[in-house]
Amino acid sequence: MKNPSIIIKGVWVAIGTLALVAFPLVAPNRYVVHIVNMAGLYILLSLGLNLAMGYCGQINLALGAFWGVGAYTAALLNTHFGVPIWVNLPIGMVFAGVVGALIALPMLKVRSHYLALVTIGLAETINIILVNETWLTQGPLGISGIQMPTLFGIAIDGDERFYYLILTCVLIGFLVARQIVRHRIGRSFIAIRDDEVAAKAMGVNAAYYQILANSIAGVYCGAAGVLYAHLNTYISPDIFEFKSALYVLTMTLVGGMGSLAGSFVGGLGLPITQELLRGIGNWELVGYGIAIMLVVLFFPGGVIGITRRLQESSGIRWPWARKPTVEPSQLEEPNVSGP
Amino acid sequence: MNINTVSIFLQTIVGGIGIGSLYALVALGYSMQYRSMGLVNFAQGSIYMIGTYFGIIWYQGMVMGLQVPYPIAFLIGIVLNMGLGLILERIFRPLANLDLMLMLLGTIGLGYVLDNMAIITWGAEGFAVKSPLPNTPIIIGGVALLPQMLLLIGVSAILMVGLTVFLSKAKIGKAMRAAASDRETASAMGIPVNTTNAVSFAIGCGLAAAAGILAAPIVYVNPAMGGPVGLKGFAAFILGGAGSIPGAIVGGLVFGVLEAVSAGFVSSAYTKGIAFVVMVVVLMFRPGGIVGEVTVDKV
Amino acid sequence: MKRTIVFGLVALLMVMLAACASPTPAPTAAPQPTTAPAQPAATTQAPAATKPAAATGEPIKIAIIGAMSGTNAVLGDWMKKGVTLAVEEKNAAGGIHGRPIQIVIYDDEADTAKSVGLAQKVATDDKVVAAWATTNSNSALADIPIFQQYKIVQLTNGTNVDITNKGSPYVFRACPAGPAYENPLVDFLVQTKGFKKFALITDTSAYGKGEADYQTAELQKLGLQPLTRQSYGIDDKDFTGQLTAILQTNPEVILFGGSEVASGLIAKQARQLGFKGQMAGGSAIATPKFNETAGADVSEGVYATAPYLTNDLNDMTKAFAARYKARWGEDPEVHGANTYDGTEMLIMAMDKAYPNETGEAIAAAFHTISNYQGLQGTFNVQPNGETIDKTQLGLWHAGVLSPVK
Repeated sequence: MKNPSIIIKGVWVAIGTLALVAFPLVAPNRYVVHIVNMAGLYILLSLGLNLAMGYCGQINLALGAFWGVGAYTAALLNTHFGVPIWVNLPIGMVFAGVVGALIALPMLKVRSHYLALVTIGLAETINIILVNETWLTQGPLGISGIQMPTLFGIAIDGDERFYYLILTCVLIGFLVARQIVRHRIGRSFIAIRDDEVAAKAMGVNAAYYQILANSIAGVYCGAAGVLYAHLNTYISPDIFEFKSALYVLTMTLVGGMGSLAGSFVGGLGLPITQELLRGIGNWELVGYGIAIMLVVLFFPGGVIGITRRLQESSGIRWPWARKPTVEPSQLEEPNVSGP
Repeated sequence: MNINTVSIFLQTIVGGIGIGSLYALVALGYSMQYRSMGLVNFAQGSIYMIGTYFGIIWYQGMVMGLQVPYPIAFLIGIVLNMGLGLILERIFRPLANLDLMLMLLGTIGLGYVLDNMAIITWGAEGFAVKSPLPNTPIIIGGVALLPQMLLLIGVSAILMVGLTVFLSKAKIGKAMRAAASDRETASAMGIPVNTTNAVSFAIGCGLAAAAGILAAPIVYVNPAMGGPVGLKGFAAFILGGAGSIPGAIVGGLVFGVLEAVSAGFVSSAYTKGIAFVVMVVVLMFRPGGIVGEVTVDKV
Repeated sequence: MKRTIVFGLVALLMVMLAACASPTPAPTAAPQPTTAPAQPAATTQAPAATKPAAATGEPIKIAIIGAMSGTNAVLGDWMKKGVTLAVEEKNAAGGIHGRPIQIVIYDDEADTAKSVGLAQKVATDDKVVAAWATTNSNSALADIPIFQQYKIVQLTNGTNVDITNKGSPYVFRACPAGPAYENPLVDFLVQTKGFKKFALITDTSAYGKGEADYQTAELQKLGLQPLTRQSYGIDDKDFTGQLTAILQTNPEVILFGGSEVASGLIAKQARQLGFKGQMAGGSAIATPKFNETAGADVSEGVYATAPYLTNDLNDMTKAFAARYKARWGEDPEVHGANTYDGTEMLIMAMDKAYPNETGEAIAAAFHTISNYQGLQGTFNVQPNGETIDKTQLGLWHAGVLSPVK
């Protein structure tokens, strides 16, 4: 019984690794690689949101601000002092993590839709600072001329090479996230999400874990921001507006909130779907809106939820839809944000 | 132009109250829908925009060249938008039982649909609307009062008082309040909860249309007009206390005045930031909003 | 452990995308962009019944990137109309030595991040030789490194000065840059009219902030300091706060920096609050939209600068307006005119570069254009990519903008 499944697994891993490594080489043009690179950044953002919101139940619409803090940190350090991406990456992650922790402070006090508004307000405020503090950020014009990185003398100067950098970051980000959700931290997150009062009664320091969850979200978004700045070599405040947080929220909910695989499905699926639908203008956006409404009304668990439901009703083992032991299903309990 | 400090301050406050009335009407829309269905409708801004078009297209003679007087266009707009509200309520009935984030996403999806349908139907460019009242301001004590602004403030006040009276005196209004405070019991006592919900939703949409049509000659009508007003209306709704009727009014006026004062006296570049920061601070001390929350019985 | 399988599938999905998006392995094997949007094919066909031999050779591709949907859709629409008209006329007259110009159109939703992606797309997937990108200064700036890297001619009608400061030999601006609007306006108001007390009001966009900066710089050059500079968010509708702050300083002139609609509303509200002085501004104030929003009674006596004040400027603009109206059913405005001018120059450059239709050759040919008479005036291409620096001063009277003699 065990051997065939190991072989099948081995085949999957081999196919997966080969496909991931070969992708930029077989891609028809650089634009396709660019789309996948951006999708990789969205996966990082979505993983961060998923940990804070899907696992810890913290509503967070300030994602764009974390992303922006990472990107501006990298842009400023690079354009003023020539700091390379390898140094910017940890610095940007720490900065965004600190901002995440600071934004979490009001979260301890307010709940639910009040919290939604507070996070929107704080994110908008950070964006207004980016627009107005021209001496630092060059205002609405943005910062251009950010350098692309080099590694051991090899210039990572195009989307194809950058792809491997992003792939590495996404893989590390995923493995860390998996460790977090399996670790005691993740179990505490879930306990707080499901019943904060009970979790506190059981001795979980809810405030500590809520701040930690948002800080982790900040770190993920900060990494995505640093990568974005060095990939596109130009950033401006409008990229990090509230709408970007909504976009990441949409892909996470469509993929599956409370499931790391959901972040991959949503982060890759949404940009690619939009790309395939490109070109019909306003009708496309009408269709996008209707599709979102349909997902919310009929598949509130997202794509991962659909496959889980299929698996439960048909008994077929969809490999990506297994109900993991440490990830309580979202289907029976759609109320991810607590009462 | 000898403006003394007092009249400058009053002038700023009047401007804030004008724009605050607009936020308050939109916030009332949020409140009506939240009280009845527990639904936070983030498409309220788009509904406000559609309501504006529903009224203004008649006034502007965009429908078969008919030139309808402003008061009649105002009523047509409200009625049409209430009709839209009844349809939307049917669609969103299942949403009311879901988690807040799913509501957010579902109603934002609706916003996309409404905004882009408006662009397809009426174009993205938009137009200016001529005020039905004279453009010359009435000057009292050095403070310039614009007739259209006074109309906006006055009609908003009438609508707010009317709504409060309706909810406390009229039979269906009482039923709506009962349904809002305890759905299960109200339903058991024979109150048609689905009907009261539909009426609440429609009233919310009607108020949004009223706000939009009153403000149209002051602002500029285009499909993008809903976004910022929707966000600020939401802020007012939360600031006052989600689901509270007086809360929505207070929240709207406070937010409007806050914006005007910070633009005039603190820093115009940071207007929005100051308003949001003050709001966050208020919520830190009063997590249930200024007036306090009407708890909605969910689950 | 088994989650590695998810990775396998995710990777497969990406390879499938690669396969789907690839136009070449498709069995139909037509070089035409079957995966590209539907509009280009429809809008770029030369009218069949025109007299001169219409172009039939292998098409040369150019791209338009702009806001085609969403709330900024007007800007993309104007660009599409101006560029398409010029291209259709050229194709009907035989194209570039028999080769028709084909336009591919993409919607960046006025989103900088999307614009960068689309610049990559037109460069590597559509393999265009030139691209209009975009009216929005932010997106234009964001796209510069990409077009420079791929050696593709980039045309813009964004007005921010920085666009031509980035050292790219491939970027060209088909309209005057911001200071060309603000400097003559400020000079006129100070030197001819003798005003000394100026108040500035602008929005927080790249455009608005830029215009107010140029106004400030020119005032300082003339030894004046603005009394106050007020800002507002691009969505704001009530400006009482900013205006009362301005009125306290008792200015002679209010200078607008922001967009058409907001400036119109500000002008209206300023008059209602009792401001009796002069009002003036750059290109946004020279648009019919400003007049429509403010109302003719408010716009009366307002000064504005623009390279294209009205369609009735001269015979050339009148003929252009007639052709534009025949094609699109509406009167052109400044964006239609400057995209038409820019495309005409691009076509000249393509003709000159023939048969070497590469971005590099076309850019080199573009740089040699001088003394070209366009709708906006005389164009002389500068090494940094500026093409024209003259604007005209106009005065609003009875809802009509006319040049000041």
